[in-house]
Amino acid sequence: MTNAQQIIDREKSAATSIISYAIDFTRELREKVSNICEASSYRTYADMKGTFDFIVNCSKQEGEVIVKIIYFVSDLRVRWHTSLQVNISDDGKTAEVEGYIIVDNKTGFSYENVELGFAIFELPSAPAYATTGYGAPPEATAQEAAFPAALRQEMLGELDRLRSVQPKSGLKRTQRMKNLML
Amino acid sequence: MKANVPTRKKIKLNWFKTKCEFKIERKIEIQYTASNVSSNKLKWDTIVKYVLIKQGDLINKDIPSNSPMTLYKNNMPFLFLNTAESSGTKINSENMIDDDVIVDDDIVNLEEGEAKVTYEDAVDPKEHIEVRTRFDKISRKITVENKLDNNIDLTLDFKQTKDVSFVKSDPEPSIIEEPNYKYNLSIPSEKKSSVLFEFQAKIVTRVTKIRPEFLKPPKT
Repeated sequence: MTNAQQIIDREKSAATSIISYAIDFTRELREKVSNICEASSYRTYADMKGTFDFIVNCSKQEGEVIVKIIYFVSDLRVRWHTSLQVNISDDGKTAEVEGYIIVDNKTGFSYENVELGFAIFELPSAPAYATTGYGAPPEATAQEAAFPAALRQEMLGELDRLRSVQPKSGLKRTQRMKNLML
Repeated sequence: MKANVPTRKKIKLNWFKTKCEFKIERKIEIQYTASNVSSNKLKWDTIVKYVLIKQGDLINKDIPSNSPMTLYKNNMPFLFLNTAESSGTKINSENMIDDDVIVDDDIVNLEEGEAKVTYEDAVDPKEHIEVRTRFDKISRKITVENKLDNNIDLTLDFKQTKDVSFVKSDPEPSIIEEPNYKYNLSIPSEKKSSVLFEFQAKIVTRVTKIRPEFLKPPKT
């Protein structure tokens, strides 16, 4: 992991240098370079590319084998939420409802033609630290150590977001847009 | 559902499009305590909720709570809110305070009843608690003003408590479900509607006093 982090840091520093010094790219090239640089700037350990070795046992001596690889991406930086657009009819008794799913990909990767599945789940609540001594948190457990700190932070951030959507004592006020005839 | 998900971008996918029945539910909940029932003026909020009755494609779909919901009228967005929960047949918006429906609650008349005095033991044996209980008759007028440009229907829901009980009202309640007295009001645009209530309030005051036998005789 240390080596991977070093590679990420080196890439980030190179990207920063390119952004700082290179202003003379042509339009198409500029877009490509800025995409690469941006990808490097956002990259974390979870984005590192790896290689797979496949051993295919088959009876044929020679021939073409089609291998289909299906993998599941679990990344808290890929999020989704739904949004409703309600068009109320003139009589105010019926409405046309349009539902949208908005997918926000904050990772450094683009996913082409992927099958998307949407699930609602609740993250486990924050560990209630069994305080040792005078309220000091216990030493990091093996499970905590196995979790990258950034990912843990991300999960806690998500948890805070979920908490913030809990109903509050104060209600929101309607702020209806009035039609202005300018 | 298959899609291209580019890096650091948001994509918007079409999920469904259907027609459904649409309702607006407005409610004013009123409940007094012994201390606020005799206030000169009180303000209450009108709670509004938008309800979509599921039809067609929507029946089998659950909308996650807290999803943004934008209401459009004449192709113009006019209200931004969130969904609260979706049941088998309905999608409810969150409850909001309707700023365009104003509720004023004013005192009309207050008749203080005669206080009945009883005594309770205090912690100190030389003292006792004087309990003064009286039943006041209070009239209050609740006025609801519709500042919207369309007619609205709403429910005014008075809930009686152990201290403030319902005596009568003008108009009579539409529905009585003890301890709730509900009034179905229909108010045209820019108009007001009023309900005159008469309540009986139990007002109790407690004062700790030295028992008379322990009072020092006045110096002569």
